[in-house]
Parts: sequence; C-alpha cells; structure tokens
Amino acid sequence: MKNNTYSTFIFWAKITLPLLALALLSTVFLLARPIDPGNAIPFAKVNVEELAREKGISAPNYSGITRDGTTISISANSAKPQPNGDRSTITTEGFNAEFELPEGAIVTLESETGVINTDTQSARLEGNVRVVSSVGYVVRSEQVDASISDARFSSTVPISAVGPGGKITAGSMELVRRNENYLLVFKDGVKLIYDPKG
Amino acid sequence: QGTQIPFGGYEHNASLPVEVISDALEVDQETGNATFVGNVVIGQGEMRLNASKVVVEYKTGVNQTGGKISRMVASGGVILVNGPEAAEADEAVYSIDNAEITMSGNVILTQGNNALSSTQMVVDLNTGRAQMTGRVKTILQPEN
Repeated sequence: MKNNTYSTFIFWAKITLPLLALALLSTVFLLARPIDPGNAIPFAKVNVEELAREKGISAPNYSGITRDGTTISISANSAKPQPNGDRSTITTEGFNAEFELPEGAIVTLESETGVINTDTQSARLEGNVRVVSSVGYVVRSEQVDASISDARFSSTVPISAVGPGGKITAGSMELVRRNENYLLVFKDGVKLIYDPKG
Repeated sequence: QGTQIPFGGYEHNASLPVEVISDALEVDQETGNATFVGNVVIGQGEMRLNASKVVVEYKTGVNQTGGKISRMVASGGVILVNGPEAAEADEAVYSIDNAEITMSGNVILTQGNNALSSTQMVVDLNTGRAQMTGRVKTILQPEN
C-alpha cells in the first residue's frame, strides 16, 4: 500500500482541528474580562427620596411676547414652589432672563437665585446679579427686581458698570421706556471714569 | 484773527482720566447714545466743565462700542473753570484727545474783575491759550 500521506493528514487534521476549536471557544469564556452586569446601565447618583419628596422641576424655561413686541425668555437651573404651599411664589436657582427689545437690542439678566411671584408677574434676583446689554454695558448689582411680563427691571441698591465710555458707579439703575425708546437709566450720584490712555 | 488770551494753567495733561458726575445717565438701548443729565460736571486735572446736559460721542461713530470717547457736547448753562479763569457759554464741545474746548453762544470770560464777551471761544488746554472770535467786547473795570 503506497504511503498514503493524504489519509494520514486527514487523520491528524480530524484530531487537531477540533482541539484548536475548543481552545478558541474557551478563550471566549475563560479568559474574557469579567462582565459586571451592575454597570451595564448608567444611572444618575441623585438622592431619589429627596427628589420624590420635594416637588420641583429642573431646567424650566418660559418665553412670551409683550404687547409692544418684546420677546422675554426666562430659564433657570431648577425651580421649586414654596414649601409653605404659597402657590404664587417660585424660588429658582441659576436664574436667567433675556429681553429682546422691539428694535433688536438684547438685554440679559443673570443671578444666582430668582424668586418669581406669579401674582405680580415679577422676579427678585439676588446673588451677584449681572445685566448685560447689547450696546456694550455690563452692570453688576446685588439685587434687581425684574418684571417677567414686560421689559422692565430696576436695581435700588448701588451698582457698578463697565460701558464703552469707562467705569460707571451709581446709586440705582432701571430700564425705562420713554416714547418708544428703551433707556437704561443710572441715578442717585452717577460717576463715570474714562481713561484716555486705557 | 480773534483775541488771544491766556486761559488756565499750562500743565494741563490731556491723558489724565476724565471724570464725569451727574444726577443721571441715560443710555439708549438701541443707539447706545449716552447722555448725562442734571448738574453734570466734567473734570480732568484742574479743568471743570459744568453743564445741565452732556452727550457723549464715541470715536467710531456715535454709539459703536469702540470704548474711546471722542467728544462731549455740553449744553444748558455751561461754565468752564480752569485754574483762575472762568468762562460761561450756552454750549461747549470738549474733544478730549486734542484737549480743546469750543464754547459757543454768548461766551463771557472773566479774569479777575475784567470780562470779555464774544460769540465763540476755543480753549486749547495744553497751551493754556484761548481764542475768542466773533464780536469780541472787553469790559474793563477801572481801578477806583
């Protein structure tokens, strides 16, 4: 019988190939990284009880248009009603209001907290309040009262501002409307310092 | 021509900070025009310019936020005091960079007990000289 190499090759192949398959299969299960079913689904680490107990919404926003065509958009990081059940007051964290005036000028207000009173349609902003106006004024105050139904706000506490002309300090500030024009008016001892070299 | 008069000290420095105080400042939110209203006093170094209304004009057009003020237009009972001299007029334009104040409308300049009046006066703060033009009249108080 001639030395039938082909048969012997097939004979050995029938043994080594299944063994190789077994080895490959085992690497899939034996050597694979342990799978932790726990972190398969990422979930937020938030105090669920607290969330359930307190009523509140996160990232609320509201916008509207006033009679004279000013668009107002108000947003916050979070909003909570008063714990004592007073329905008309909402306290917000990270308050932001933007007034787009009819002629296109934009004035934005930002503050750490804002207490909105839906009866009077106004909000009291506190905690380094910043008022930015598109004509180049950035005004800082500790407390600003803003309307949320039309473009009106005022700060009765002293303010400091930086404008195109330089640094401004004043005792109070308010946005007023005078025959179709919106004016940002600083009052009670206004002082501007302009540095020609600056 | 016109009458040349010394006006104020010579050491005026046009690069000193300019300070403006007033009862109110109104900024038009559309055009950006800034107007000081009520007991406005513009001060720089020795110079004081009092007026009831001052409109600020910026270098790049009236309201661009270039941050550089080119002129201040004061009106309503303007009184300019610079050192010993004082001048009154209806209106004054203070251009800061070239340190020049142009006063117009029945200008009255008082020096000690002498007075000069004219329709216009240009004060160059750097050289401390004033040039009065237009019907200049001098009223000399005789020493009695």
